[in-house]
Amino acid sequence: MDWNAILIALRDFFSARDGRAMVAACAVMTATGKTPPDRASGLPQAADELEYAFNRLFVGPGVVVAPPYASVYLDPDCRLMGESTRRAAAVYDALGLSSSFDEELPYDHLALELDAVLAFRVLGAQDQSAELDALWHYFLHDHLACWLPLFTAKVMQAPAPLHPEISRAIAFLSAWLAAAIKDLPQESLPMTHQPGGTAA
Amino acid sequence: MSPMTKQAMERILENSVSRRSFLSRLLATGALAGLPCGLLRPGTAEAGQVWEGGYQTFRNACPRNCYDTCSIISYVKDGVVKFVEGAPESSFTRGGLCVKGNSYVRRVYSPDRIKYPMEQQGRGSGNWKRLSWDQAMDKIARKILDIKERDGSLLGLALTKYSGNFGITNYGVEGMMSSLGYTTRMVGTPCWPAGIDAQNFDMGSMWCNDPEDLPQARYVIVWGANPAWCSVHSMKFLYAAQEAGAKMVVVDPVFTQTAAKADEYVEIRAGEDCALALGLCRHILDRGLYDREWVTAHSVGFDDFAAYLRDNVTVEWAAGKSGVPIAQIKALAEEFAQARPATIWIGYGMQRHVNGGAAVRVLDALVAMTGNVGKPGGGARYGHLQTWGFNYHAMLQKPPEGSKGWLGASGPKGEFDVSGGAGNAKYADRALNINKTAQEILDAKDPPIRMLWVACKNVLSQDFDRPKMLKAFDKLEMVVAVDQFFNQTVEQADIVLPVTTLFEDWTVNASYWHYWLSLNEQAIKPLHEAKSDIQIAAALSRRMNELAPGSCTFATEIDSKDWMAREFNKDIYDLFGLSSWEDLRKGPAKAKLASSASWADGKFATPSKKYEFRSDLCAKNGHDALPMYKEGRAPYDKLRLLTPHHKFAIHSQFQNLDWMADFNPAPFVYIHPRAAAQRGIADGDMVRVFNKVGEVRLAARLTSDVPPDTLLMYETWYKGLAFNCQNLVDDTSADMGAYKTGAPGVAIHDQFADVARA
Amino acid sequence: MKKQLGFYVDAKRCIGCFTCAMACKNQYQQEPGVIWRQVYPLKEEIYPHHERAFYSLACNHCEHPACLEVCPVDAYSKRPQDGIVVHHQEQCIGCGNCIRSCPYGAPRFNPVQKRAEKCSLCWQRLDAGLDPACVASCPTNALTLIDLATFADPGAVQFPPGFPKMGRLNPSTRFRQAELPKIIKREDVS
Repeated sequence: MDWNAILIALRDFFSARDGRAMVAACAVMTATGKTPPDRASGLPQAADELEYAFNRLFVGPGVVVAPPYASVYLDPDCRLMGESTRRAAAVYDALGLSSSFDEELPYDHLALELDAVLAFRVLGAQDQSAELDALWHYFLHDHLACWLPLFTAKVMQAPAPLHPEISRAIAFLSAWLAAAIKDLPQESLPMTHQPGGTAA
Repeated sequence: MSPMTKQAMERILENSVSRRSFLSRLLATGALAGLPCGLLRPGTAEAGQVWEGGYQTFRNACPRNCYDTCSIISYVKDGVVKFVEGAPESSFTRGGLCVKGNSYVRRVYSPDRIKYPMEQQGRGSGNWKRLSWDQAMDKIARKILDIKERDGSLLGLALTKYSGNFGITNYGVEGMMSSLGYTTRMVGTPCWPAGIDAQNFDMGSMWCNDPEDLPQARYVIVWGANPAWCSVHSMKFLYAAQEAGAKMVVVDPVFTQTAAKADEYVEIRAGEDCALALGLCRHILDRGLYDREWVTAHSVGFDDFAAYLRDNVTVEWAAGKSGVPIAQIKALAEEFAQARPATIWIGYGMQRHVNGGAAVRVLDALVAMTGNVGKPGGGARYGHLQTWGFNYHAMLQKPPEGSKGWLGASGPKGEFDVSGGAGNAKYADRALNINKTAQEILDAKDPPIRMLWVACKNVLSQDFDRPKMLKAFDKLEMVVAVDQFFNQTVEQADIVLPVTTLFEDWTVNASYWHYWLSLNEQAIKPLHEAKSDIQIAAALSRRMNELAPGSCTFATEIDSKDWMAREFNKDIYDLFGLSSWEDLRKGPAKAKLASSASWADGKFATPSKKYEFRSDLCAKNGHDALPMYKEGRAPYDKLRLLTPHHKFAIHSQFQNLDWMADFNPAPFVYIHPRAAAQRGIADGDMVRVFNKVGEVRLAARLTSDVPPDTLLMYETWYKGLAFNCQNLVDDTSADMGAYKTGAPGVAIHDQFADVARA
Repeated sequence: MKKQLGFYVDAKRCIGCFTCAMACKNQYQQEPGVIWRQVYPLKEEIYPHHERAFYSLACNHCEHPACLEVCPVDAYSKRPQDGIVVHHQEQCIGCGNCIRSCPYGAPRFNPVQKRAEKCSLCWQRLDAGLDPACVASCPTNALTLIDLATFADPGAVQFPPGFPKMGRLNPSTRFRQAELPKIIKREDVS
């Protein structure tokens, strides 16, 4: 499994501004993950349907089902721009990275965090560094692994049936997290993982 | 390196030096060059972005159209508001806020905030697409140009805006409309217009004493106001008056929280304030307790008023109308007339009736005939605009060359209209009554209203006759809502634009009750993609001018701080003793008042320069020249329905926050046990409240806080609940308001309904 | 007597506005559902009008705190210098003994932290010379801080109607009771 490609697709999916970008990201996930494409995905209205469903879950303008920000799950007060947001930004800063979005996209938005995961993976592959390992260990175990299962569980609790493409993306996200936590050789990961199953 | 604990790693991350040196060896090799990151970039975060150091404090002002208009200090740590406090400099708020103000942080950082411009594919469908600001402005600009093309004018573009954000630069919304051309405006105010007109007829202006002089009063009647909920910071001044020996009387149809703190509570039949006040005047006249010297020196028409009282009013009649016993009317009259100074706080609730303006005139007369106008600790206290003399630079914009508009007379567009009407211009905006927004949209022709811009307002929560408003929305080709939360208007909008909270842009705020002025600094960067109203106007102007050069005169680039500064002038500086607006960064400032009393010099702003018991101006505006009885609205259903404000909300703001829901999770209708028993309703039952307008379902609370002929529910928007009291309130006008605000007020409390178990 | 800080709840002045309770949330940014200070309306048997008289209550910082006595891990301590009962959340194991034992409902369970928590009397603010957030925010001066060692208001009561009488704990809160105005009811409907 080419997890880098999946992570890029997940990042692009969760940062997508419109249905076309969402569909494109899903196509990458479908191809890379060798999962069958959603039967409806070829229809002309498919991108719109996906976009509406995505916005209901993650964007708004109504009350969103699963806000894609770490602080909503990790901070005691379920808010944006909390302590967890600060910690995510500090991790990027330690990596020598910064977000050009500032307050426009809180630093612990899922897409930014997945972007940081990519940075960790590529930097780790380039060079052996105990410090990098330690920082990665922190970001994975003390940050991502603490909120992603709560986030995916919220998505799975959504009142309406889940859009298949969103369901697939959540499954990939959960599968990646499970693999990363177990530190399995990532090529041998089974793709039968059910989304939300990592909530324990 | 052995694995580090979470705490050890967080210590490293906490400090920028240790954080940035942690991977320095690795990063020195240029490892960042080939990263597949799409969102994060190599580079160091700007100072302040990653949360370090202590608190910065900023000056803010609560802009929520509330008596108290609290001056706030916000505590910001590395770009995030951590908590807020009241400004200690204000002797009115004394460092306090209210329950709503203390919830502000929750509001800014709520996951529920509207984050991006979005477009709904099918109104009410819940199918939303994200737009960039450029896309949103393009769609809106093209629609405006399309309207101009089709109609030859922009009268098909209507604005409805009120006081959801009362900052002075928020009048840039009106400015944006003017800068596009002549448009349709929903004019007037749902709030206080009948009383404004009444006070203008009587005294030449609405001008109340400084509320901080209430402790000097020896007798206070709080009439149709509930400061314990709606002006919490005024309560200590009322208590101080009581502690100094004054008697506080509350006259209200409901046993309010303020009533519970009074020395005496007088339950009155709603809408009969006029009758009770006239009964008091008659008794004072009979007992010779009026201030003959004052009325002779400072008023005109008192003899006519006295003759009217003698010929038409008796205490017995007043008792029959108002329900207040004869003996109590006499006692109240005698006590009030013999206490010096005595004052009446005239509430906004009591003028939201078909005879509300008439009632305010009689209350004014009661205060005047007892010689209490112009006295510290006295006065007919209603409100003031003494501290609102800004430049209205954001509001006063010129239409583009060659704009076509409404032919004919144009009156004021609300109580804050300083434009002086259309002047000599050939064209004007089309003025429609804000209190009949639904009907006006349905009726408007040549051209019809095609597009509605909603700002600082929640039409489907605050406007009257909600079922009719939904029909009116069906006539609109485009609805743009500018808001912070997904309320019931946004639900029915085509395009929603995210607007900043008070912490995210500059403005300045004054009060219509106390005399303090507060700066509102930008304390944090706007979250998500929110923009302030003037920044939205600038963005729209940019796109308008790209598509059709010269089609919008609004500035295309705005420095919000500069625009705030441009609202100040020498008169404001002199009034507040400021050398520059920068002085307000040190704290709010209070107007330098010659006296705490309004009209202290006895010179009134009426045509006669005296207090006018007989007002020819009032007669010319279609009312009685004298303060006279005006019949209330005939009931159209079994029980009276009152829908006042709740302590946990101001209109549809604040109650939606989860912190507020912790204390007040659900709405109730309050029913007297006797009325409930007649209908087989028990405490806690789900009931239907219904009338000719519509229906509301909610739980019942049985209480003798309301009289047996009255139902009470609070006008509030609860997140996730369909509850909306405007399904039971029609758009019948109050008697006054058109003279000073462009449209009559609205009889919010002259509504009737019945109730049954659901 | 040793210094013992407590709240003076003046129900005569209190308008039930909840500013104190929200100021507590504002200061500590508690998650939704976690309440250290609550404003309780008095039952109509005590004050004959629905939701028109209130006791604003948080921890009573008792002389003999039940929470402290039942805590198995010493997560509670009573400051010797001022009698504030402090909960040390880092030591708390979330067993719930304190929550079950406090007759005033002061300790609450935080479902996210899975631990108890309660009013700290803003000891950090006090140590910095500030009033507790609730006291500082009260717009009517109905909630004040008192030291029982010097407090000598003969009209104050320790156990007003509606407040559980737990003499053994000796709670440090003192009250003034709400009063009723003279009420003139409408003749046409009564």
